[in-house]
Amino acid sequence: MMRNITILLAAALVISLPFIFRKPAEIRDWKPGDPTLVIISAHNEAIRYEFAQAFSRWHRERYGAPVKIDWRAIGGTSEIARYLAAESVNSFRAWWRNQGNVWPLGAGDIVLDRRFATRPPPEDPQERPTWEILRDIHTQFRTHDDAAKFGTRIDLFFGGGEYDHSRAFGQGLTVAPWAEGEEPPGLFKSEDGIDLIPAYISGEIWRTPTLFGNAVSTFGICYNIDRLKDNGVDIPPSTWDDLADPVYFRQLGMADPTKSGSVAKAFELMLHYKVREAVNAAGFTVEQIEKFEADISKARLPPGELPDHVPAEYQRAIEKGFLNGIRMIQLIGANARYFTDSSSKVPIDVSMGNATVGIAIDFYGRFQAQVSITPDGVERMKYITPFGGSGVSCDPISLLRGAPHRETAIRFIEFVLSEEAQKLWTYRAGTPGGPEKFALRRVPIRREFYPSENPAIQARHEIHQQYAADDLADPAINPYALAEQFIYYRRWTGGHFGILRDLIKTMCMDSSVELKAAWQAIIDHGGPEAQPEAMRLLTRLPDTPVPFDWKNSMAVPGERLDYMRAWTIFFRNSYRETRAAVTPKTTSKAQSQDLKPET
Amino acid sequence: MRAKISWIIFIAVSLIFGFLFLAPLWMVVKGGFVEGGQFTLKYLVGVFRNPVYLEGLTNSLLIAIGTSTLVTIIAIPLAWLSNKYDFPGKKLVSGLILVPMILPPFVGAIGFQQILGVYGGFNLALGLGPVDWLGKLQYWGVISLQALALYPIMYLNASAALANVDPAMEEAAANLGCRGIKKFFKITLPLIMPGLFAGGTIVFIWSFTELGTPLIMNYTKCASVQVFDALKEIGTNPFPYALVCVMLAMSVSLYLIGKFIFGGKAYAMQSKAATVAGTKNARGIKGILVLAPFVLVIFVALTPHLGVIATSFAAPGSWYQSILPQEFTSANYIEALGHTMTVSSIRNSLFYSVLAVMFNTVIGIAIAYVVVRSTIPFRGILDSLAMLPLAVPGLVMAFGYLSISSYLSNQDWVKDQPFWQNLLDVRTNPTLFLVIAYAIRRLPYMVRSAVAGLQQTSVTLEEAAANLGANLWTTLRKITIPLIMANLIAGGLLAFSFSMLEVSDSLMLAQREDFYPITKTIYELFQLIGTGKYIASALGVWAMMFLTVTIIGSSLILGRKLGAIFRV
Repeated sequence: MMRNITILLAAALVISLPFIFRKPAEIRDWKPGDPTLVIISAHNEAIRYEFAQAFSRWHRERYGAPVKIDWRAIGGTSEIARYLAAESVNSFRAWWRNQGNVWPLGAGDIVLDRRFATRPPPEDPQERPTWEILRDIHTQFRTHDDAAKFGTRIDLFFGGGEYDHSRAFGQGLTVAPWAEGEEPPGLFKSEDGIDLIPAYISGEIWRTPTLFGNAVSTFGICYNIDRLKDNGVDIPPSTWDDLADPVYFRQLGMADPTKSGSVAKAFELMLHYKVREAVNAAGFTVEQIEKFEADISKARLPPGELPDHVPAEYQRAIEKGFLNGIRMIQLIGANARYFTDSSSKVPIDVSMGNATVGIAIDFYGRFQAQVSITPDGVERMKYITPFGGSGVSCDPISLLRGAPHRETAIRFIEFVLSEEAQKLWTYRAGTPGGPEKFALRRVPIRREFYPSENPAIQARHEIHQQYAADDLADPAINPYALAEQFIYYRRWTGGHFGILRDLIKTMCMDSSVELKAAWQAIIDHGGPEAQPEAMRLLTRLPDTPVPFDWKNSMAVPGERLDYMRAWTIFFRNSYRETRAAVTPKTTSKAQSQDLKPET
Repeated sequence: MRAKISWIIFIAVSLIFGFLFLAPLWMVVKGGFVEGGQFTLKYLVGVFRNPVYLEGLTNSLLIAIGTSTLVTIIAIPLAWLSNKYDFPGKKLVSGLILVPMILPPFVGAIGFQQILGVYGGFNLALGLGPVDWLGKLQYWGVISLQALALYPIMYLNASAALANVDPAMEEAAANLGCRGIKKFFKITLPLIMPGLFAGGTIVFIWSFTELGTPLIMNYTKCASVQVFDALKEIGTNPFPYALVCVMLAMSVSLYLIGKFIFGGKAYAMQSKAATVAGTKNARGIKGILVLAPFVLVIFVALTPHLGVIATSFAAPGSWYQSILPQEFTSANYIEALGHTMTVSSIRNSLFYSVLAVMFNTVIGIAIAYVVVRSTIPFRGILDSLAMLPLAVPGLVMAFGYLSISSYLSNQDWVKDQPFWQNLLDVRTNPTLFLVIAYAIRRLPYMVRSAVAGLQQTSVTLEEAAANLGANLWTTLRKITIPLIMANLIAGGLLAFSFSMLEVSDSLMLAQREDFYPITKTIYELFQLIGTGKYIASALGVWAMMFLTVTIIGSSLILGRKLGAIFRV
């Protein structure tokens, strides 16, 4: 009996704990009948909380009523993208059928097909009627924007990457909130014509008629100070090249480019950085490059062909830099401990010392470095942005097709882009105009937050600087300063964005066991300098279906599944041969057999 | 009469299963079989032509074999000792031995890394220097971690089976000169085989398809992680769906092979452990010797849990290059338990899980009844089908339920009716789908436990009841269910605990804060940059405490040890 009472008491105590700690519910002035807004978002709870509070306040001041935001959180960006796509097709199909129309097999894929309109109609006249129905389906979906007809019953898609929002637009899921020229004045440009939110900056899209970047992020390097010491590294890594150093073998935390558009973009920009390096090394000046590229773009020749006065060495330098970049990524991949899709994993691992260095998003890196300071104030982790090697990508918001609360949704977009809301990203908690509870420590997109030669903007910057959690004048934080260091030419690497993912997947991820074994063998026998032949074998690139180089890789023929399988097999064999080519040089045969295979 | 009822149950259960499991599954995996409106086997064939996927499947199989072997080595001796001896501290350890299976998601990995990481407590305590265990021992790490989390399933089933063994059988063997080890292998083992098979298949299929552990260990070369990776890829990739189907087919085949080898013969006992004779008293040194293996296993298996507990009390940044945090705080608890999401999410989780277990109990008994007690053809299919949910990745099922809900909620009869919207549209209210998702995902435990119970119980007792005029319902209520109660409680506890810790369905189906279950709240807290892992750990510890009290409490209240409740 006593025992049973003890158990029940223990159970009661456990269950009552949350009730004891529960904070009184916040008094909200929202009442039924006031506007609501449905937002699907990958942002964390802190961001959701601050924006909901601030928007409701802003809305009440301007329009007289508070707004309740009904947040939908279903996981990461890839889940959101899938969900929106499936939801749109389902609601559209129901509407389409309700009108007595036929829904042919495979129509579900056509609704969202970005390239449907670019493909010619089928030649076979028998296929023509079905194709016409499919064409109607495709256009009807894109010409309606009315919650009463169909839609996801969600108003806004907030957060994620530019890639995801551009893709959603291509699928017809998002629409423009404002007709061209009817954007709220002062939102994107100042009265004197200064871009306050540029549309395009150093190779990155920040704003289109349907997607609006509101915070920006860069990829950089974070490292654990103690692990560097343990490894005997005196100079911390500062460039992407440093990550290919054998000293970091199996100690590098990597972000996975196949699961995130922003990570894939970061890898493309690493390539771009190596191309720039090669072009500089070949002796071409900034002005020459500018002129050559302008001429090439004017001449509209097929990729790789040049107008007469552009020297062939210039193009050769680009192609060489491209291959250098691929090799650098390959060796970084060989050092990788893992490739992860979780943005927080790398900085957490580095802060704990499980990884020595890692590639991470800036605000995660900085935030983690700060909370990792020991109680007695000792730093153990640092985040740096590699100089001239990182683009600045944006975190957008888009209006969804068939938004049920369209008017309020457009107000929310306007709010998020306003200087007032941008303070939430960067101000310290509790500062005037800043977030109530959480310092979000993200980098706002608007120009007014950063130093400028324009006195009006500079004055705004100085006000913001007082309350910001990070130093907005720091050139490693200021996105406009970062962008200046990084002049982007789309022609150099823009056409390789997609194929680079496939290459990294086959070259580094699916063949990681063989790659690491080969790299280990090289490291164990004197390193890359001592093993030139092995390095040559290691860095070979596939010959099928076409030799992998700057030009061919822009349009690899054949089915993706087929060439990816061929590449995986190629790299695995290549790495095995590399490993076999290493051992005889410095060790006897008997010793080489002792080398245990990797598991 | 009996055959007719069996058929009715068979058809009803198959329909329920078809609608609630196969239909949502097909909504998703059809992506791997349809291209441009045409059926294709291209991707299925592609799985077998691609060395990467073949390697993944092989590694998954090796993980399953390794894990099951380790689980057997850990669980059976413990179950046997516990059944055989009374020793000091037995009550406590019999409960604690089950606790390792309740590691909360997300923060469990962190706790584990705090201990086994390069600068973790393990290396420091033993003075090993910065050894990267998690990076090095990937395969062994995965199977050890899995075995230490999954052995309770085997232990529960083995204990329930041992409790059902009639000591008269063993006494008879001993009288005839069969003693010790020989008696165990000749008499006891065959008698408890249904229970071992029940536990073993769950552990095997579970570890074959387990995702969380390989992800923690960064072991990507196994099928479950490949499916996960491909599902998360930007752009569309039809391979994960084909791969899921291959995994399903392999799981069923492995299950059938196992059933053929181990589950073929079940010996039912006429009387059901009517005497208390089984246990001997172990005191003094002997008692300590019996207790030692329990303490050792519990201590090792609870390492990640201890890591989570210490993290939850650590001041941010204070646990680094030290065996324990250097500065403790209760602020994480105040933040986590005081959060507006917390109380409602606890209530939601309890509600969803209890409903799911109730659903499972009914369906589980129905399936077990048809499988064991009827002679209708195809009953074997139902038996194998009921194992399938174990083999499908949670993410795939979550997408499946979302698609079904999305399909239904766009029908006119749902759209304009608040009642149907509340029931069928996860955007309005995900309760029904979450309960179904939890129930279906955890159905295999219940079915296996109930089947094992029925197999061990002689049908003659039910026949006697029928002879005395009891109808099927009365027999079931008065005879069958009480006889297999130990098994049902074992299965129910597993189903309940894992429902409380269910991840993928919870993350995707509960889209609005009012409906978040506790796992989603842990996830949301974990996402807070910087301090998230500390705050989420605090809530994770609360969840562990709650489940520990539930498990130990039911084990203590229900009897001297779980599964022996009908002996006294």
